[in-house]
Amino acid sequence: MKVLMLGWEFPPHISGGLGTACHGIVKGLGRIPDTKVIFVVPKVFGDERVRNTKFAGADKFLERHAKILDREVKIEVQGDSASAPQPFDKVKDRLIYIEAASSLHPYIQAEQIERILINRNIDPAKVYFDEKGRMMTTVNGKSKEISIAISDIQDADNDGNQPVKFEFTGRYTSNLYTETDMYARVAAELSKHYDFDVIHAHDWLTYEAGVAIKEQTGKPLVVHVHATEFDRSGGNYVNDRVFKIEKHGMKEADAVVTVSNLTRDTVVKKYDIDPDKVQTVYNAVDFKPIRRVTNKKGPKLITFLGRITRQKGPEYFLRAAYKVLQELDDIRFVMAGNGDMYHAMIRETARLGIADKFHFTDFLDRDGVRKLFSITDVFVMPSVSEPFGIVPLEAVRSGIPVIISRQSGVSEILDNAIKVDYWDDNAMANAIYSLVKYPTLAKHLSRNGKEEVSKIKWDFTAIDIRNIYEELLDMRNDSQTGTIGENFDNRNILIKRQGI
Amino acid sequence: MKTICFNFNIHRAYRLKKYDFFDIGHNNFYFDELGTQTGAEKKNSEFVLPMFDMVESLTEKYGSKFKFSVTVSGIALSIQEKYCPEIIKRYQNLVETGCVEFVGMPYNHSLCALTDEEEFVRQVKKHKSVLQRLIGVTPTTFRNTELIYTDKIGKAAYDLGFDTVLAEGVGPGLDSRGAGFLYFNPLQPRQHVITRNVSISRILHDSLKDISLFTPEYFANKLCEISLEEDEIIYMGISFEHMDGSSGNRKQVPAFLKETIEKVMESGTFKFRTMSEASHKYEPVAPYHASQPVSGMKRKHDLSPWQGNELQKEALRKITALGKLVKASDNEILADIWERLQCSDYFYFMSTDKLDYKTNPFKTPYDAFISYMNIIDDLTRRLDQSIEKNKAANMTDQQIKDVISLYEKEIVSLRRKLAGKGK
Repeated sequence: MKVLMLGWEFPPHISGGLGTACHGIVKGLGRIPDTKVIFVVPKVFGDERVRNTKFAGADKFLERHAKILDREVKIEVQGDSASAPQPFDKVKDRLIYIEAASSLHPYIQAEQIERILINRNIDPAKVYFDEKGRMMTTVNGKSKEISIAISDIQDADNDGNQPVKFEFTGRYTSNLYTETDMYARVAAELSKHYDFDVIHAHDWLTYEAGVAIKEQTGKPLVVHVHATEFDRSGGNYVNDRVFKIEKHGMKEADAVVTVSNLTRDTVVKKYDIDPDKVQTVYNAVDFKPIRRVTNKKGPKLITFLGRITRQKGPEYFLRAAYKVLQELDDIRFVMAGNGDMYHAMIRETARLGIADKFHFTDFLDRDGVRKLFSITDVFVMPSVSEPFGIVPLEAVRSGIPVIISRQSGVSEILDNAIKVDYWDDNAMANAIYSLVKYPTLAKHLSRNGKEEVSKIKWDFTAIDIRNIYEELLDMRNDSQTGTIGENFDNRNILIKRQGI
Repeated sequence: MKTICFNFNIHRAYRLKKYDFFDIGHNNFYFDELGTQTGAEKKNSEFVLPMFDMVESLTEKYGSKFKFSVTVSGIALSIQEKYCPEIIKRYQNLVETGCVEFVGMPYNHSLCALTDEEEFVRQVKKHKSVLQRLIGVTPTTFRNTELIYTDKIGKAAYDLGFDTVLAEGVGPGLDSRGAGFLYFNPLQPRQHVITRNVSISRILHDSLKDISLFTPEYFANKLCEISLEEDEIIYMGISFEHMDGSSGNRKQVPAFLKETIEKVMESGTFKFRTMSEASHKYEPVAPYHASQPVSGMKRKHDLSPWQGNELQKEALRKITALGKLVKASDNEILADIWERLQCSDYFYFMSTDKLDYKTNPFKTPYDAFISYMNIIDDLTRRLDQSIEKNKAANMTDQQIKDVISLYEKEIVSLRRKLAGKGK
């Protein structure tokens, strides 16, 4: 079976959980016999020079596709799997790895926000986040909300120091939506050159492409929901266009995979999708920790790791930290990541007077994360809305006791964790305090958690996904209708059969 | 004849390293010594020494007719002593000509005048003693860091032996006659206040930054215009730090300045005096009121470049609070680091007002703040450790015996545990 997968960022250059999940799924599928993946990734054009020197044989493809699309777009293809990124080494022979030129990038950096604010004559130092997590400023003594659309971010990128990402269209006025359309065209053209059975699209930026390919080839489409616009917006001010793209993709899909029941609920209720075709497949974890070097004598370290955005609830972590610091002195907090609330959080630590005990690292790469986990005593994920949440699993694998918000998909499958409501900074502070003060509790969570998480593997995720593919193809062949996931409990049989 | 008081400011700070979270507890190096050295050497050979040549040629030409004042920070002196000892000699030579007055200030170019009276006294005394040691002078005129001034700061300086103090010639405290007169401190009428002529200093500063802007003639004419008014003292302050800025013509600055001074000399309208000479020559006309801080910063003349946002305020609060630990730790190395970190430049890096600073290693004020707070955390830990060590050193015999017996017990139990594992 061959899968055309429309993916995202790829390791090691990932800035979010989506890249990690795609990587895990592709690797897992690669280990299942007779499964091949053609993995298409949008690639930021700013890196083009590197690509041309690095990957031989790309020029021919470039020429061919440039012709097809009248030189409007360029497509970069790595002709053989040998040049796929190193993390895919083990599944090389079952993977074709393609990079399609595109400016799509899903996450926002603090600098981008800053630039937008300055363009609008708003003093970034006067921006704060209110109780609901809305970005606010004060104009003539009155509070005013600042709303930032994705198209603003793209515009801000174009006059800043960032690599210009729209170069291949030759125009600077495009916005993200035309980029998704463009990506859809590129992917659809690309799909003509490959043979496959199923289309699998990850998150909204690739849904349009998935639908276009389905229309062109008639192959079944799986859309994989790692997050919805409701999660990203933290519950408020859902972007209507993104919502429509998401809904369109889900409606057109033959099967919708959600990463948790929490997300399944959102998909069914908010997007009005037929529950019969929505199936939860949990993510997993594949993380090799380095040896822990926690300092028994020194201050305890409490860690937040994730994009610093409304969705991730950084301000609740900060409030809990402030409360704990009123009681304990020998404790440090670190917030690792970047995002639109990064600078506001730094200012808040200064305002609260805890900046010497509350640190920031900016964005960390994988090695940085490992290093951080090796010295972390408690990990906290206070997400307002977290479809899944792989990072706490990585922390648990590293032997760290974790506190996670109940509003997360991972809390559905992880027992050995302290669960709190994200808004309850008192409970969060209590949990941190207890884990620091009562080592028995921390040890218990650490030991049992490690064992629990060792059973959560991408191989199982991949088998579940592969089952969905098979059901779709069966339904097609027999022209029958049914419910996705009917044969779902056959996983163990399958595992046995395939010797995993 | 009207009086012209030139004041040259010379300051250098130790360059800061980017100190990230993972350095805390592992890396004791906060300063970029090599960068500090090469920066100082470059600047001294390209700019400071030519300036000295220029000034020396003027004193040769005009003898004691050409007089001026110099304010050099303690950190600048320590860097120059370490990396460019020739400069120290040049200071000494200047003193011999009798044309120069050295001005006092807090040793570390710090903001301690605003936060910590005791530390202020210590740093001013330290600066005084380094001037005595290296250059052989005792200052009697005081110019606080970045010309930050309040009545109280003036009074505190008076108590340390400074009968003349310099301040910015702006603000509501100024008499309607403007900056060109001698004032006195309302808290200590015996102390005279000389206020900087902002507009003429500005023109000089701009023309030095971009020499094509004005000619020396233009500048000399400007000065003569002022001389038509009734002003008595024209205090012009120029900072070495700002002067060799962005324009590539720093090599021409000394020549420009020389020509300007010659033009002024030739006009015969002015007499050059040092600050304290001017202070003793005239009678103060009115009190200079500054209950709120006034600074020498362009346009705003307030504390905003160093204390304009909450990041800067938190950083200053935290570094000041460390003073207690520093005292308790009784550790010279750590005390020295703590002092260096008080330098106002580091707060300037955290300004969100998009200020220009050539050797700022940080991309954003947030980066500057994070790095600085990380350093404070690390320094705090080292101070705590040092205090712990001191405690051990000050124990009585009985206390020492108690600790030994405690450790002995632990060693026995650990041995047992080890033996158990062996089996």
